[in-house]
Amino acid sequence: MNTLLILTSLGHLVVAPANPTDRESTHSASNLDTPAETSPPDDDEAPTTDVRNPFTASGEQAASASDEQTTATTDRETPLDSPADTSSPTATPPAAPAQINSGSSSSQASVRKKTWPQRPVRYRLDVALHGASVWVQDSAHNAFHHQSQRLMPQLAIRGDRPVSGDRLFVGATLSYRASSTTGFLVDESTELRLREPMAGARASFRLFDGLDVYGQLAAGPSIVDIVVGYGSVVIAEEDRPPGALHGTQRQVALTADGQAGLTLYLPKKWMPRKGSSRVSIGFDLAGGYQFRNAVAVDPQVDGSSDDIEIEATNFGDIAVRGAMVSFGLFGRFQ
Amino acid sequence: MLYLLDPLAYRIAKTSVRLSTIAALAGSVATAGCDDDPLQAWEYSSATATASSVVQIDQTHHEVVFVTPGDRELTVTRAGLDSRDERAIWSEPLRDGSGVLVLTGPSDLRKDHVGHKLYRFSQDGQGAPVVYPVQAPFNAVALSPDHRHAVLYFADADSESPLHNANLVAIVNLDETTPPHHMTLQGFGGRLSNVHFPGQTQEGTPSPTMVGDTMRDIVAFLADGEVILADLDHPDANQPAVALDDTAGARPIATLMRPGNELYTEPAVFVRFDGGRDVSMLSLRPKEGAQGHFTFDQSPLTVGSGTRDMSFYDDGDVPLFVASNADEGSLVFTDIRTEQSFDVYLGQGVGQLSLRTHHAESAAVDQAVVWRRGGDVVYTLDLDDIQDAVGRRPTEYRVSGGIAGLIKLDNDRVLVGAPSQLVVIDFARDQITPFAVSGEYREFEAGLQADSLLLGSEGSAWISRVDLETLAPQSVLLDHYVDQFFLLSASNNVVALHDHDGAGLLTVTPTADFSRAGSKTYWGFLAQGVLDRD
Repeated sequence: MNTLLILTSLGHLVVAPANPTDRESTHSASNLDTPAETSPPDDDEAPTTDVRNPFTASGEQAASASDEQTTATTDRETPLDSPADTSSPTATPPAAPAQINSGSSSSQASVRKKTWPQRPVRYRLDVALHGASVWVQDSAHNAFHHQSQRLMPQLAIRGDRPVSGDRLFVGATLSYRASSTTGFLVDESTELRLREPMAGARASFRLFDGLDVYGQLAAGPSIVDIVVGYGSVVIAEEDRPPGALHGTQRQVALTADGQAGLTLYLPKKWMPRKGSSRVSIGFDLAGGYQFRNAVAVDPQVDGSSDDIEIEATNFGDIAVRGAMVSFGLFGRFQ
Repeated sequence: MLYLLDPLAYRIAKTSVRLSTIAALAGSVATAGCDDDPLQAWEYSSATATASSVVQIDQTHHEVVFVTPGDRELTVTRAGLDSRDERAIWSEPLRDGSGVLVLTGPSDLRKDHVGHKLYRFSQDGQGAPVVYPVQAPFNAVALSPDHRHAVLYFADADSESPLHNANLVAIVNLDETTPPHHMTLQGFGGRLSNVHFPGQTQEGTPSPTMVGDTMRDIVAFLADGEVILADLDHPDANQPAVALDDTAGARPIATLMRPGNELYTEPAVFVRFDGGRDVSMLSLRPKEGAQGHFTFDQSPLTVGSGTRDMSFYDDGDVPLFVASNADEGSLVFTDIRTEQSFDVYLGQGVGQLSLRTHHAESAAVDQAVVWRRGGDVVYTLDLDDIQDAVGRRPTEYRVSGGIAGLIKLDNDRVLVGAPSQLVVIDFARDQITPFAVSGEYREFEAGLQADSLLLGSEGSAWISRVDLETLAPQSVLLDHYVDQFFLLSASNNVVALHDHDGAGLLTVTPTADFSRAGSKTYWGFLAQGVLDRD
């Protein structure tokens, strides 16, 4: 294989194979010379074009540039956007000679397109709305819902930033989820309400722009409200018949969950501003486990001071925990 | 109309009608959502009570629930049946409150490997029950007043089994754990309707009768047109039976035993019939030529078709049989040796009859206390030298409004219920004390505890207590209507179960602190720990 030494405009001496069809070399050259979109090494896209190569004719455009490729001014920071280039800005990957294939003797006039600077991702801030479905293991849950599956909507704000390159991201998440269900316990109506502010840590690995895999752990207090008795669900207190019993309790438990899944989002190249795009949207799909410690269902009966002292029984414990599947939509700022 | 439930009479009446209990065991079924979910489907019986606990059958979990009130706390004990394939058919507390009997059968009639059992649980459900195997799904039980025996039988044709031996009975010795003695009555084909213990007149006191040289605990089986006698202590002995004359009104409804004494040596069982003008006197004696067996000689005593009650009294050296004839308004006294009789007219209020001892200043005098449901007078008649008491008149105690029921409080006092009042009659003091009732009480459940009378009424939120010494009443308004009312003598607590569909609601009021402040309501006791169950 013939190699060419290319002195780039950066002053870097690049050694590139002569075969313009070598994807790897092609990619490397494009990484060096063009501030193209940050595509993974196995990107199928053709390399960028319009390399200012002193060995080519002045203004001559390299061949085989795809239409969607944009030219770009040289940018000292360009190599940092490329995941294949994380080792050092001064790395000398093999240059892509496609554009300098001496076999192509076409003299194409350089086409100037509107370019967007390739902005690195220094942070990501997501606002997400999730819905998780939890399969509660505890049969006691049947007293508070007609099925063991519980839907838990959640609003989350999460942020992360890259570490050690631009593939691994670590960050934190703040979320709030709430759920309310009703049921019957021995012909007494019931209601179970959970409200849970949570904080957690998150790590994600970007496989390529548009697809991450992530893992997340979060924990927080679970404010548990339980209502047992007549009219706890449907009939308002003022409409409750005289003598109808109504017991309530509020307890703070601990909740934690762990989940792992995929994040799919619109890659920069699909966005209008391409590499400079600061926003994106996407969705999460994850599986995991939600934990809550057991809560004793021991309501206090509502009543006036004139009533005969009344004591409700301890109906037993309920633990709302189990495997979960989560789906969510998010908007991203980066 | 107000009426009283005499605890003793109520108990006797209950044992003859098991259908209501069978229905009651499936009485309250609450379902919501999925019927198969034990958290939402609930089936339990109406409550009974022992001396210390309220008892309910939980058919959903195959358990017997004992609710035992303590000092401002409630203990719920669940005693399980041997198998989830079993289902309670009926339950009956023992007469002394020391436990409860539960008859079980298969929960699914297609499971023929599951037999019938009689469980005897302790009064609070603690400890293992005594389990007696039984051969049939008996639908009635008669408990002997001496607390020693239970007789299982079929009071009517309603049964889980499409075919059963109508005259099969089982005699259970409650003092032992041996299997019951099953036997078919050796009568004349009449269908069994009731079981009486004619010789046991004192609650909790064994009172066998000497027949010849053998002590026998006589039980009478009342069937259509016949009476069959047996010995509870010797069930393998013969069963002398008598067929009754159809024209005399042949349905036996009451029995009474007179032990033998120096005036009349043979013990005698008196049998009264519904609408009959004669009372059969069965004089018991050993059966000749049959060691260990006994028989009787029958002789009719003509007392009139209006006879409502009977007793016996020895007037000096004359053994008298006493019958109250409502149609004639008189007491009929019959010399059982000669069958000669005479009447003493009282009035229109003749019906029920009991005897008491009146401690006069000079001596103790036997008296007859006579009253009638719907009547307005309670009579007392001195019985000393009654044969020579020509023109003797009774003492009358007027009760306005009509007598609905009468409960004997002790030898000297009775409680009479009328439509709008309760009356305590003190015969010793010759005193009548009426308690006006506002109308909240419709059907009383009454309980005696030491010198207090406790009253509650279904459908009312009131419970009341009357100090029988001072005759001072107290009433407590509960926060919920009373559905059932119990006096737990072991803990001196009044327990009112409230009409509440769900997990159970009751109020405990100690008799020592009979007030709202002293009361405490418990909600959900039937579902205690239900969420932790598998």
